[in-house]
Amino acid sequence: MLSGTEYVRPSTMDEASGLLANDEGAVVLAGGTDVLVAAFAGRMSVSTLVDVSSLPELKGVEDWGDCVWIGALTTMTKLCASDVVNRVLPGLGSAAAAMGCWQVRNRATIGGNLCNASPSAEMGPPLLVYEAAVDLDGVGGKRRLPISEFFKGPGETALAKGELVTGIRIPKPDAGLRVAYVRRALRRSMDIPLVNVAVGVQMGDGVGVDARVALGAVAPVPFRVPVAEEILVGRPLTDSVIQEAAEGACCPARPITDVRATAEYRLAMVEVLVRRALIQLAEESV
Amino acid sequence: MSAFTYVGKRLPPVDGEERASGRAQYVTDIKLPGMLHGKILRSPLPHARIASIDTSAAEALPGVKAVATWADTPGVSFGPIPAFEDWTILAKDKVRFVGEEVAAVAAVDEATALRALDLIEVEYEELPAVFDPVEAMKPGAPSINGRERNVVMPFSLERGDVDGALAGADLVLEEDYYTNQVYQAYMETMAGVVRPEKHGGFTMWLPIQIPNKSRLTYGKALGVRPEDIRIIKPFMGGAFGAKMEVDLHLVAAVLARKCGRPVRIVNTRHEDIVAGNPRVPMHIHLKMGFMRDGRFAAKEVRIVAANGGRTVYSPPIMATACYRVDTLYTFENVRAEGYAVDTNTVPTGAFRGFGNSQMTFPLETMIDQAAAQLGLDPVAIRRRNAVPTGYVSIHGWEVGSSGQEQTLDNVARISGLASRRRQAADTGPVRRGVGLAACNHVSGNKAFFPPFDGSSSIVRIAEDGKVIVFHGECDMGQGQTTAFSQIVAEALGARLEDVTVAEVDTQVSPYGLGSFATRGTTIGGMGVKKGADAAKELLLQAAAEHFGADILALDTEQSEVYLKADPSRRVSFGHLARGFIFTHGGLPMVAQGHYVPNTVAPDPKTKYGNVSPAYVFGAHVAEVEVDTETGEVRVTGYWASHDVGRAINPMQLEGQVQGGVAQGIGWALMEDMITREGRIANPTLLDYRVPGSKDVPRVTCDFVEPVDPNGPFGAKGIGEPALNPVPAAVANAIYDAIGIRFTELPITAEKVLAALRAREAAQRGRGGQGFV
Amino acid sequence: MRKQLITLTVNGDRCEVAVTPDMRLLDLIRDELELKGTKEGCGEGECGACTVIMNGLPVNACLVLAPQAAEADIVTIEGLTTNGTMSLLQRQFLDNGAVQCGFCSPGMIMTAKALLDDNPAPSEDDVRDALSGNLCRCTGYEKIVDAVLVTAALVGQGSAESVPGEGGAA
Repeated sequence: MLSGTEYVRPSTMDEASGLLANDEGAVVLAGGTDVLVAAFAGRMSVSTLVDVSSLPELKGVEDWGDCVWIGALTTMTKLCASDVVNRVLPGLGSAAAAMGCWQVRNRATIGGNLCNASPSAEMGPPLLVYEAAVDLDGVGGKRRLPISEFFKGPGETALAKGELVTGIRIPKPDAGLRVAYVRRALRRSMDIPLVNVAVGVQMGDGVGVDARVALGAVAPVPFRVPVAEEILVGRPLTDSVIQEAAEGACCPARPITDVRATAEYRLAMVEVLVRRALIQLAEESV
Repeated sequence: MSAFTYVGKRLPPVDGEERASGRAQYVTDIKLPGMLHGKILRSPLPHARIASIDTSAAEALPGVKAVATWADTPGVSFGPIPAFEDWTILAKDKVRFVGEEVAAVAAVDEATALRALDLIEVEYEELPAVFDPVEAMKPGAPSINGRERNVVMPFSLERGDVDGALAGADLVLEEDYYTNQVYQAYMETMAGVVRPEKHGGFTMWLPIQIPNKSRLTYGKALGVRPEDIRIIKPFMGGAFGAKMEVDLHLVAAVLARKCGRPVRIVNTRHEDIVAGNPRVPMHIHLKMGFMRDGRFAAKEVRIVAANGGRTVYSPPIMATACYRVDTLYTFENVRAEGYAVDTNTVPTGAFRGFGNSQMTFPLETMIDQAAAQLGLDPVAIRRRNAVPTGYVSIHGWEVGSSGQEQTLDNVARISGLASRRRQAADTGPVRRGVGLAACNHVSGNKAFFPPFDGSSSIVRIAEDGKVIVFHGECDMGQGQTTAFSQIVAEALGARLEDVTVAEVDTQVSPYGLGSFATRGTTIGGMGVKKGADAAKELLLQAAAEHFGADILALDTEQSEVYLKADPSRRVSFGHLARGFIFTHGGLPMVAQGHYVPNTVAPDPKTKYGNVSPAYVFGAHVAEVEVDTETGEVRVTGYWASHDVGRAINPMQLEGQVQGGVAQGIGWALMEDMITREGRIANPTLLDYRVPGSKDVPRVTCDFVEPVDPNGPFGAKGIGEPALNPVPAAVANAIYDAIGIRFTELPITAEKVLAALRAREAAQRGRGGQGFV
Repeated sequence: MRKQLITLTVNGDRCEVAVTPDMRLLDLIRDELELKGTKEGCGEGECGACTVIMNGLPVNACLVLAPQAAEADIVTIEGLTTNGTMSLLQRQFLDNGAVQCGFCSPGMIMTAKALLDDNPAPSEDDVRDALSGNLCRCTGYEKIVDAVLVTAALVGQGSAESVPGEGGAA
């Protein structure tokens, strides 16, 4: 519960990072769809909720020419509705549209999804495939981290004390890169993925020139799978190559067994989902 | 049909405006002056001795008005069924399941009450625990309630010559099945607001299916006469069998008595899942003999059912599973043996189907299997054994009307069953199949409450001609109030908008049994119809004087009495009522009516006896797509035909069927209370998955109306049968799609994939299971 | 725990409410403003019974802190009734049999209203998608979906104008 908790809504970055740096139990509140559930259920103890919704530095979706910048407070609904996201980063839009339900997407933010650092974070695999970077700001100043270095474990990130995610910077991919996002959950909506997969492939002269495969929910953090990517580069997207890559993707996966699924089932789904994502891309590129 | 003004019409709910506008007051919305908020401290352990409880720190917390333990209760043992009284309001010296009520706090607000719970110190000495009923029956298993082999109730029954029939059968099938524990997941969690009254009595606002009957149990528990407890049942947010006797109501009463103020307790969703009243899980061993022509030679069943840590209704539910399906077909040789067994798990009770739904899954999948092996059509094999009108079953059940054959024919027709079967032409990872399953049910159950069966009503014609109906049944959200309004308006010749069905308040409502056993429309409906018939007599007598005419020359319509020979001569109910009331010193114009069905409490030894005034039948067809790479099953089409006697309100009937099918699909494919060492591992609506709007298909409904001699206008029930055949229909469709039979619920994607891979491995000639 | 005063608009009325950090928007609506039409079904954002419209979008009121609602524009189920007359959408919920126990209905109706405000001509898939965060245990959803589709069709035909108190799409 939140009895005894304080609530503040800072209006400047300095104020926000100061609060977070000086208060051991301070927690950032954005959309609240993860933080409040955890706090009310007693899974998280909070001394101060720092509502960052008034910080202008965290807002907006902008086309910066060579990259797209997405403010940390951007909700899933806004992400789905963004022209530039749908045009340039469709795999990210698909992932945003798949999360939870409409009510949740109206509140849940991209920054919150990253900072909650669930192994099954909806934004994890697509941002890995798009090779995004995370903009951080705090008492130690601004810095930027590749998304692959941001996740440290379930619920753990590279955020330093007094630091906030301000936005996500995504280099515009080559126009030829096609990205698919697929997931498997037990219910057709309102569910957490058992496995989620983003795959990006760029073809040239009938063979893969760039391949990116990222998995979620099958390890402590979402991650890229070079072994599967290497199988795809320099070869045509045939059924046998697809199958080889799908099987290859399973090697580094180390899923857990929980109430939602066994590790074995999750592993089996990695193969199916990577294959289906690649088949989808193969059909699109015909 | 056209002879009726309201019966058979697709009318919106008469009390729907309150619900759709947010004005309807549910128990969770009630706020009384001086009301306190209660919270319950629940056992964290499945089986333990309570060494000590220290409440002093909780009592000292500012804002806390009362802390209660067993010592604050009357200390008596009680229970919903007099033969198995193993409840105490708060645990005495032992806890038997995770979630059992140990202590409680009433405070000025919920947050304070929660803080106080943290301050109560309970010392437990953990005891060995047992969770599966089969294990609990074994020698040396921990004793939970001191019963021999932990058996709460054994059941046995035999009729005909089972062994002879099995020996002479052309095909004998035998299989073990398991039906799992599932949660009703009504949207309004269990709740109660209790106000202490003078002389030690209580007024209780409760969402409860049995407002009158529960007072017998509650009176004993609280040490007061049942009449000292007044129960008011306002709008109710669903129940599906769970909201019969609920310990939370008594905890609120103990707190209210101790601090002398009204106390409100509302379960969190977590509490409601952990310590609710879920479906009785059953191990079912079924053996059946079949003749080559499809006749069912014999049926033998052995059931072991989990009672949980104290007894709610698992014994009669287990008994129902043992033999209610014997009237689904013309069985002649049956044997049943069953046990309800104590386990250190949450107590189990009624959930739509009351055991009959559990048993329908094995029976209807085995019949499907037999049809396939005998080369018979699934409709034909069921028709071969169908129950006709006028049939008296081997257990003495008198089937006054049966539309069973029509439900089978109709569901096959509307689903295009023959053309959809075995779509083996499917290629690719997704396979499609269809499955048929049939069901039966009662419309009332004399065995549930042997002291009496039936229903009654008081119908009052107010001075403005409005009609107010008092009854003792229960609308828990299923639309009973609307059905009763239609029945009364039709019988009385009143305008529907002039009829008000009062909410049940035991201080003014007649004694009624409430909602269970799909009895509301049939028995409750007869109770209000009899009252309306009597009220019509009163009005006709008054009109006879008014017109100076013979009573037989008069009739009613649109809240008026008219001369049949000259319908232009009319007088309003209001005019007649005012005339009556004003000439009788204000005497209310009131009629009463009652209905006593022709039911018989089954003989305790032989179980022979006609338990219900009417019996219903139904048949469902499910169409599924099975993704053979993920194991995911999607129900893509659904058709249901039900024998409802007479459709009082087809739109509400469709709503019951569509809702029952959705619940059944949830049970068949995704719902499961995953229990690990007695703890429910998925106590949230995230991980206890009930179907959402994208998980269920459209359901095409058909109603067969043979007009039952015992129902109001011939109507029979629908609530439970709507769910009974769903898991079997889905399982049979999965078989049609992939050729694998599943014998355990739920049929999760993981189980489907594992079975597919095991078959693949077996076909490759090397055994082994698993996914990789 | 500090109390702070916030102002917000609820069903068109400006309100000033003293809130604490542990108070949810749901508590503010139900307990402070006594608008009991919004229901609590789970308190974890899984059932949608507490759905209200906040700044034009449906949200679970159990997952918004009351202080977060400062300056927000909130519409609850009570806001759909004008001078005692329900909206066309609510009427269609009744006429299509979409209301059984009614405990999910206020939240369901608010999500449906937000959908029709956003998309006046939704497909069945659009409706099922939009309502997928609102659990109903009674109806099997079919009649709810129909109620929303019928409302959209009636509004599309201009029938809404003849319904008294009908302001917009729903």
